[in-house]
Amino acid sequence: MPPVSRINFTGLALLLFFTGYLYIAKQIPIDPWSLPGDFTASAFPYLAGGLGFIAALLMLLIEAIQPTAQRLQRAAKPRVYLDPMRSMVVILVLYISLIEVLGFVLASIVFLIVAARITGPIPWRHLLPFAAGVPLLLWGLLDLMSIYISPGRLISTWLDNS
Amino acid sequence: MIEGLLLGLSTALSVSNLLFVAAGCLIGMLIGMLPGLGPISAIALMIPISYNLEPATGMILLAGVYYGAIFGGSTSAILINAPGVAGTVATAFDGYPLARAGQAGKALAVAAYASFFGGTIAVVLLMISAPTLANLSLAFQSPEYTLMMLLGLSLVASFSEPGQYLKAIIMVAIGLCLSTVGTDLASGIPRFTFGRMDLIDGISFLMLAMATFALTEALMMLRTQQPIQTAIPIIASHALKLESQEIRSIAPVISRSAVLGFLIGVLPGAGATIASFIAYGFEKIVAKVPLPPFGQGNLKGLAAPESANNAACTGSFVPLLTLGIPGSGTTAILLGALLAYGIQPGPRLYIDEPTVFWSIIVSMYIGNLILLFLNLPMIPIFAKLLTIPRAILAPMIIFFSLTGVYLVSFNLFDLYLMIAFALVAVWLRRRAFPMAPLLLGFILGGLLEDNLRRSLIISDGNLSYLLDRPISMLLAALIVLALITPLARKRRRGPLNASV
Repeated sequence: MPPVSRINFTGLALLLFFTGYLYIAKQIPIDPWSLPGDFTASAFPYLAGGLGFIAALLMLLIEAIQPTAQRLQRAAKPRVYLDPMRSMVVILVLYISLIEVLGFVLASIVFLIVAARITGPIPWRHLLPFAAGVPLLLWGLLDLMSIYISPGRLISTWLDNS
Repeated sequence: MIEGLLLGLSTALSVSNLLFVAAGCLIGMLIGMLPGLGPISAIALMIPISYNLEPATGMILLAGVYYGAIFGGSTSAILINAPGVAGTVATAFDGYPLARAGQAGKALAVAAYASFFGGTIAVVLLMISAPTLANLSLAFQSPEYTLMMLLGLSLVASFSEPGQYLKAIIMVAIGLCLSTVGTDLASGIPRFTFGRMDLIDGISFLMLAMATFALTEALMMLRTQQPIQTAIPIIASHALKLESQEIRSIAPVISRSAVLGFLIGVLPGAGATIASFIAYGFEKIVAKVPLPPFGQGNLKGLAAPESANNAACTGSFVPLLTLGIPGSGTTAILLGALLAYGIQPGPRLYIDEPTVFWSIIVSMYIGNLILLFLNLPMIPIFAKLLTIPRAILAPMIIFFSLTGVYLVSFNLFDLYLMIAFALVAVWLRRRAFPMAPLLLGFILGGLLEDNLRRSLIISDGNLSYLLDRPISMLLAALIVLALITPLARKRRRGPLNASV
């Protein structure tokens, strides 16, 4: 059985995406007053999804008729080590969820410290001024522009109680 | 015209007005550098200050802020691949690779020169042709707009590597699909919102640009497992001088892109983003054998969008000043400022308020000059940003790209969506799918749908109506030319690269 190359999987995934898109486009309700043949809310999605569907299908077909050697060569490419990227994505999700609780400034300081530590070795004396300085400076600038940044639930509660 | 110009010069060259235009440029540039805070935020910030000034001085200040913000956006696009404003996305295509190759100084200098000369050419065009062009822009109706958007999409071949056209088309299709998310403006029907209120207004262009460029770049930077110092050699980042050969190669590009950008800017609704994309695509089509290739640090690829976006900003003043029609969000705010001064823009503006009309035009030129003088000495300082260790630079890029999106909507859902888009973009980029066509499809999708629908309603569903008039026929011919030229060139050069 020939190996399934990466591009096959990509083409298949894209084909599924466009199929799903077209399926949802079919569910878009039509204005009760529109006549058959009118340019309705689903007309343009059909055009866009149709274009993508045809292109993805073509990609799959072209890939299928390509010489096996080429596919094997592509499949032999070394896999890239993804761990720091995965950790960063997890930290990003945590950062976003912390914004409401800690507020934008505090959450940003925590994020910058943790993100910098996982990205590479950096002494605390370099890290702290940057991690604290950048969000505080930005906060100052936004305050100057009268753009309100919420302090977060935790600080709001603490301020209300004190 | 000469009398008006002299009147404008005498007003704009007063010491106080010169100081205001310089302050406007500087403030605009600093705000524009921060992703998410574009010219609209910068002008909105300065409006309360401008109310206390004379109308001419106030408008001079606001025009300076506008230019400064656009240029500031280019700086962050070149240095960290985070376009500060939508109009500078195309600047990142070649600007960022140049910075990565250790030529950040040269890239910023080319951007400054291209912006200056592009803006200058546009100001001259504005002076000599504003009333005529204003009338021409009214001749552009939905069929012409539809064809112009199709012309933009037909440039997709320019945004892809040889042999990767199918991938570029797929990315355009994804961009078009994403542009349909949100409420359909004609019928009010929500599409692809999955019942979420966060998607009712659609997907933000800034969020998509930040996710596919800045955030993706930072995540890929982590993936390389190399210290940033080895990934970005800082070779003479302070070198601002261009070789005479380089000047000769970019000079015609700047001129062409300025004219193109200005003409697109004149059309209400088109704007700097579309102008920069079309100028970039056009240059890629007409370039013979570009070295380095476009997208890998070609100076022409940087000069074209920079010149075009600046010229488009000037062009957008044509419908504003001569017809009272704001062509973009930024010019709508400027219209509000004019009305607040009790000045009604329109065909009689340069008769009723010649001082305001001509001083705005002259201040545009002075603003461009001041931006050039402000920027050149600051380029080495900006370029040093790239020497920051990776452990700080990567989180900084991520932080500023997230902040830029957060500050626009204050909606955490947008940030989660941004991460999801960035992960898909990393996955696609690893498979050599270009990101620029996605943004091209996204920008043009909404406008294309709107104008196509309008054309079909007017013509009762008759598609031939699109080609009924001379301008639309000319645009159709350009579309055919844009599609044929790359294929014909490839045929001349030899057989197609095997990859899809």
